[in-house]
Amino acid sequence: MADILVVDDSATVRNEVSSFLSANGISVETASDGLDGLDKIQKGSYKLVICDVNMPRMDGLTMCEKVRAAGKSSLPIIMLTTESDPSMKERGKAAGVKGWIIKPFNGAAALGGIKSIIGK
Amino acid sequence: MSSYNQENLKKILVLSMANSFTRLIEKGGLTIADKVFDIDTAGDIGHIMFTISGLEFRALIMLHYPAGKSALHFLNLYEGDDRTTKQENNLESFYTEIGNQFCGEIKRNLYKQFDHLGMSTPSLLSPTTSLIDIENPLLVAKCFQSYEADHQFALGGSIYVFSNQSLEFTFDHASTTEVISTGELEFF
Repeated sequence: MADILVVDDSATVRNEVSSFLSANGISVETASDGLDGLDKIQKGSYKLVICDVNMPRMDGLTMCEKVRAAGKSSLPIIMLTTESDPSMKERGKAAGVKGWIIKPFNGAAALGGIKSIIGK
Repeated sequence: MSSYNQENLKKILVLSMANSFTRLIEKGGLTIADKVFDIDTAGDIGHIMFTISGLEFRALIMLHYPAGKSALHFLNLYEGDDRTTKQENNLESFYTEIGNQFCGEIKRNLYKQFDHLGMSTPSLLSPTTSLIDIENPLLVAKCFQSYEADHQFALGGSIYVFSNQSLEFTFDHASTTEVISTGELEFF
């Protein structure tokens, strides 16, 4: 099982984040939207989920709420999104989101925090 | 819409493009275009559309990008030589994400005045869509800005604002130019 699940409807972002993390010794699987992500989370045992907010079929915050409702209360989820509105972040906090990254992804800036979460 | 509003909307557009296209501008040597490119007749131009909706208005945000070989040139500049699949079908994904960040930046700037905005996921417009098709009687403002490289169209952005009421867009240079920390992990 991979360390991290990256959930984003953009293949460009999935590739960018996966490539960076893999090059730093972190194994990654991907999902293309919230529904796909929810399915993989229910079947898997990831150490961390990195998830977009605005996605078709199911957005990232709804996915997070459903993950919590399904009993996975300790799975760390951080959002990687263009959204920076305080109200959106508050909704994330209420849904049990652990952290927030505003796109574009800056691997070097985020790597330390990611490693600390997954214990690497 | 007053010229004051139109001018402020253009400032928001220009600032948002500069902030969201930073890497492309630097790596691709893009500069603000001196001339106005006619997107409808330029040929081989892709359009990705987003909407930002609020209580007072609806805005269409569009990213215009060169399809074909010139687009692959920019994609390679952006992603570097280590990319293994430089194919045209990557273009939509690439520019969709650039557009997503562009729209997010505009929303961030508009949010300072309108704090109840929602942003859509992207739509790829048909190549046969004419920008004239987008205009309707509720259109109150539109603006366009493009970048060029070697005197060729490189990237463009448009905002169309539709409303049935009077609006006032302001541009507070101090607050709109404050640096938003992107890419870093903020723990809750």
